[in-house]
Amino acid sequence: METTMAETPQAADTDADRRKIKSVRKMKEIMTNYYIEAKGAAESGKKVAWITSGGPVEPLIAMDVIPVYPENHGAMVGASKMGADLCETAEEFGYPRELCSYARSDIACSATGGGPIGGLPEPDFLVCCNNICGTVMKWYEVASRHYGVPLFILDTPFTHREFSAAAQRYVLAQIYEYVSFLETQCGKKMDYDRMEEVGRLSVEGTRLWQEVLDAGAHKPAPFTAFDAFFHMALIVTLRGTQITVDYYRQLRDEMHERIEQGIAMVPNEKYRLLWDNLPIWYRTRWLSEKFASHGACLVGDTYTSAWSAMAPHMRAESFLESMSWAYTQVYINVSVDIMFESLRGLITKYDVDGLVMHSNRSCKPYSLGQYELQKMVLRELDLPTLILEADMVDERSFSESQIETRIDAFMETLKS
Amino acid sequence: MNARGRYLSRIASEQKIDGAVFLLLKFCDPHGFDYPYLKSFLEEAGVATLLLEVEDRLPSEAQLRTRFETFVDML
Repeated sequence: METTMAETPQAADTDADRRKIKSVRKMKEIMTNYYIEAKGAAESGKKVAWITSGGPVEPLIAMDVIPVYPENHGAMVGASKMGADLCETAEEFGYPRELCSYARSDIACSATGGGPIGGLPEPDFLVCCNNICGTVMKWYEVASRHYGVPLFILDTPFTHREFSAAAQRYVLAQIYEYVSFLETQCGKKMDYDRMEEVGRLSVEGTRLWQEVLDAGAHKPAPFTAFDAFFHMALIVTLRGTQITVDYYRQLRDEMHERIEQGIAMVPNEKYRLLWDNLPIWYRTRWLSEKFASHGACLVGDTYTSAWSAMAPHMRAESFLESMSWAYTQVYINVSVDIMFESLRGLITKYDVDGLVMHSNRSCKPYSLGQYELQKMVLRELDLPTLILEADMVDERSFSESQIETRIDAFMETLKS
Repeated sequence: MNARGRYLSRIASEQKIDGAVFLLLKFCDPHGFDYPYLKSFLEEAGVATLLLEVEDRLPSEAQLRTRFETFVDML
């Protein structure tokens, strides 16, 4: 890959070094240390909880539990191009190919110790929030049986029109139950002063992540959705820590410097696009170069914005209570009408020329409704849309020639 | 957590079941995730299993007949 890269026309670009995001090194260091700490939890005596990507992590941080994310691990599996093999292993165990590829590859890693980091550290307990999908409940049941550890499920009702008072009470009662569950698992009481501090850091980290993403609204964009896919790891895994706040402040400042210095991520940015759904982890570089070859830059996305979009609902002063709002109303736990309003907001803010939707075979709640959203976007905003059928981790569902043809054809229509 | 598995093996032994047929609707997460463990519970109880994956319509009658006959012969 590296050698062919050097032969592409972009390699002649003398500005390539200037365009590299300097904070990347720091980010890699933080994530490496995080995984080393998590893998060493048994020796250090710390508890490990597995938690879903949309789950409320802050109480875990406040209780000094190390949160581990099978979905972040799934993204690493995908980026390491190990997805198809691991998915096939799970299929040999009897898990159908129609199941989520994060789940299949994670189940395979648990059973075989395979994958990019030789499997995740074993959990002491599991925390599953179904605000992102119903899949996680069954997936976490598999993990609970495999490791013989307790599972806490936080059930966040789907919002069709509004988050009703009854639903709010229902979620809030579970949040208090969650705290009691953690107290039982950890054998100690929650320190509410510490919880307040973690809540404050979570709000701050989330706002800073928003400011990082906002940089993409500048023309030309100093940062793309592909960069966001890489830099999102902290807002997902370590929300509520000082490390995350410090890192995103550094990254935001770097973005502002890039804007001042006129550094664009895509040379000669001509077309601005918005990405919808999870990344195609094993093809992010290929896709980024493919779009860049047309002068197109993916300046924003609905996926990484899902974490910053929680900010308006978060309250530092009554954080636990505000979590019920923030966690229930995430992007894919709401109706197509509400999703469309978020989409409209992003389309306007980033001032894009088109929308690229990844119809992700693995992620049913994200992908269901995309064709309807496509119609709404065309009808109400007169914006062209490209739908790419693929999978976030399982390379067997990616057809390069078909995707290339579709991207080329779409770009021709934008140019005409 | 494994109540379904225990329930299945209990009724299988109470009713002296020899074989069980799993009807799996493609893209159905709850059944897809439970299938491997339910199958292992039944196998431990000495019950043979047959998996039938269906989409919006059933496979052809001839195909079903062959699979069922083979399964019954095996029992």
